[in-house]
Amino acid sequence: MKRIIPLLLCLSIVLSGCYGIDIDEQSFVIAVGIDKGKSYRIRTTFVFSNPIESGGEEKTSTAAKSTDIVTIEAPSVFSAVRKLNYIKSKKINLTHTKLIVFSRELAKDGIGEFVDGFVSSHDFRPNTYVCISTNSADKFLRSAKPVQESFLEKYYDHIIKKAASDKVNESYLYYLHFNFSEKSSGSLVPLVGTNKNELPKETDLKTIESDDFALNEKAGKILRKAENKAEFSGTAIFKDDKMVSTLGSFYTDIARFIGNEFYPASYTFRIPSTGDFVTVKINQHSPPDISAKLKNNNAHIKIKIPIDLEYVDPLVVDTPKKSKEFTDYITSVLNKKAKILIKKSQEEYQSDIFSLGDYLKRYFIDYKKWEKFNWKEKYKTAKIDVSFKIKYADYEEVNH
Amino acid sequence: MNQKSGTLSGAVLCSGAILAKYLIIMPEFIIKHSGNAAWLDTIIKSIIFLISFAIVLKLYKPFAPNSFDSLFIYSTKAGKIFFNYFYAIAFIVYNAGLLRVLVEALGTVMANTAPDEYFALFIISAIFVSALYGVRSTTNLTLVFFPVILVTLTLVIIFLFPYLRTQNIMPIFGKSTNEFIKASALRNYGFMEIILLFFFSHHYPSYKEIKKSGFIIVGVVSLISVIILGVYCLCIPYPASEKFFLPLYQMTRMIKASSFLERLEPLVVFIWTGLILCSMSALTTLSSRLFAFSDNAREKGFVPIVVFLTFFTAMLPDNEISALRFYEILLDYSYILFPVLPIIIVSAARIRTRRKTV
Repeated sequence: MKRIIPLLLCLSIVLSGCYGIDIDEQSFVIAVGIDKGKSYRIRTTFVFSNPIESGGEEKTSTAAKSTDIVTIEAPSVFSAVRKLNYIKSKKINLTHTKLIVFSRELAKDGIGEFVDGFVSSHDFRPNTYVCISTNSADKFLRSAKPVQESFLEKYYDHIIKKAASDKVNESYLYYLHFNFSEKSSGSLVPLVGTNKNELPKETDLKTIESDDFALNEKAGKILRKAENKAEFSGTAIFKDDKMVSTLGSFYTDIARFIGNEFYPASYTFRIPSTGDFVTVKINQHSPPDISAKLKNNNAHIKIKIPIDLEYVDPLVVDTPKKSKEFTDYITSVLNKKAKILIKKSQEEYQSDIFSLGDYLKRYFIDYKKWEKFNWKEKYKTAKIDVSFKIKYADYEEVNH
Repeated sequence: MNQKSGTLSGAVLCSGAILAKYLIIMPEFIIKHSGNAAWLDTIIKSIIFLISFAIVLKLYKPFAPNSFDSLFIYSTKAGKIFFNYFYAIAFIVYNAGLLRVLVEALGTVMANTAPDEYFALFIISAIFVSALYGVRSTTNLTLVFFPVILVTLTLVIIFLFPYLRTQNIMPIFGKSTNEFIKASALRNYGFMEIILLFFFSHHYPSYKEIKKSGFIIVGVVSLISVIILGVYCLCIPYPASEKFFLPLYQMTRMIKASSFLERLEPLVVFIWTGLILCSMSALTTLSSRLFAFSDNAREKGFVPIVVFLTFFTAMLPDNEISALRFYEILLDYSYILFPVLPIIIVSAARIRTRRKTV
């Protein structure tokens, strides 16, 4: 008996077949775009990776050639997948999807059912990125034609990493799912769009003297000219699972400061007294100090955001007085913008987009009490103070 | 096998058998009742586990290192038959429940279209072979496998560090204080596999070794279960955590450390399957022994019957939901197998011995 068992074991390995499907018998979806439909409820666009092209020789392996785009109208995404099987000879595989794009119109109606469905289906990975398109999702996906990347999936991966972050832009499928389930906090989702790809032909006297504080560009509106028309800039604001508004690039950065997700970047500001343009590198080395307290059942939240400034051209700020004046100016403008954003989130959006409620949960013994407290309503009247603390390279340090 | 390795291998076998559940489905059940305070609930459960084990061990001391089923002899003949069959059938049913959970999990994560029987037959044939070889082989296999599991778990937890948020475990008593207290006190989820230690105690040289092995089990199981639940609660906020099926798998799917380390979930499937195979093989061997009334010659003859019964019981629930519900109900009553029945049996044995002495 003991001799037969090892033999059986060996046979079971040798004779076992492969239940799965070979890789070349599958079509891998790398992006999905969802718009409102005309005949059926939704119009779904699938971007397929063409492994033969993308894995081929360099001369043929451009991102454009290595993809195939199909748009289908159906009552749901999964029924669109079923319909895809009538078109595609290979089996549809959604597990390599990098990006899901919802159109603005659909996002306004609510995307909770889609997000929950994707998370529970196991077909999509939980760390698939989610974006909102300023125009149609189909148009955006078709306009994405990266030049430098050989594979479109690499382009999506690289660009969304810059556009999204873990805490501020809850761009991962599962973060959105968590936030939609919570129901007391809002969400920020990256905004994408298709650019007209035109530079202005005439001088705009209104904006010609503007600095980065004034510019607040959203996806699709950046003044530029490039081969690839797709772009990622700004944020969509969600209350529950419905989009209520959008933020431009500068306000998105303010939100990132609060969420400790700011990436180092250079900004050009104009000193009001002299009219000089000064470029600084802004960095956030340490997380914001957020303290939340409950007084008479009302929330008092203080946010102190430490940021570092570094002059790109130190000679522009050539005197201590100028340096101080400049720092004071930046501090006051950042404080003002942050206050505006928080006030808007309380009054206009009525959505805790910074998840500040999380800092208050410790005052409650259990979730039932937390729900009874009704943070969603209390957020509108919560007292929130926000201030930036700028640590700048000292004038003496800079000039000597 | 020297004394030192005997202590360790016994501890590893029992710890692996208990943790098999914790790695696959237990966090989901605990979260359902305690919400984001599941980690706290698990600490309380571990304390209850420690106390109940200490009581059973204390009562068992005079009979050590006799195996637990030999204590049935202190009962009447009918009692001996009852206890033997009761434990044997209970282990089959528990094995069936776990087998079905594993089958459903594999179906969900690997091949939605594959029939349940496909996985079940594959697993049950491995259990059959392992049970035929006996508990020593299963123990040696677990001994080799357990460090791999610890390394894998550590790796997964390290990569999950960026996803941990302390705010997620607030409010401290989770879903509701009343439900938390009820769940912690009444739902003493499955530490019943520690009974393997008492059933295979005749492999140990003395009481001291059994005691040492037992406390290693309690320590290892408590530590790992609290870590798993803690990481889960820190990672997935409530109420989303309540709806997540296969928690460890879901958490591992979240990891995106680099292109290479993006898909770590096959490791989770590997440790699930490995641990559950070891756990089920040990319980199958024990069930066969209980059916054979400790008769070594007949024991192997019962293995095919036990395997057959396990397979068909596992296939009884209609679908995934009823299979999970079935296993949850089983776990709710697992306290009968440990510590309730052991306390009754050992106490009865002590009383009868004392009477005989008098």
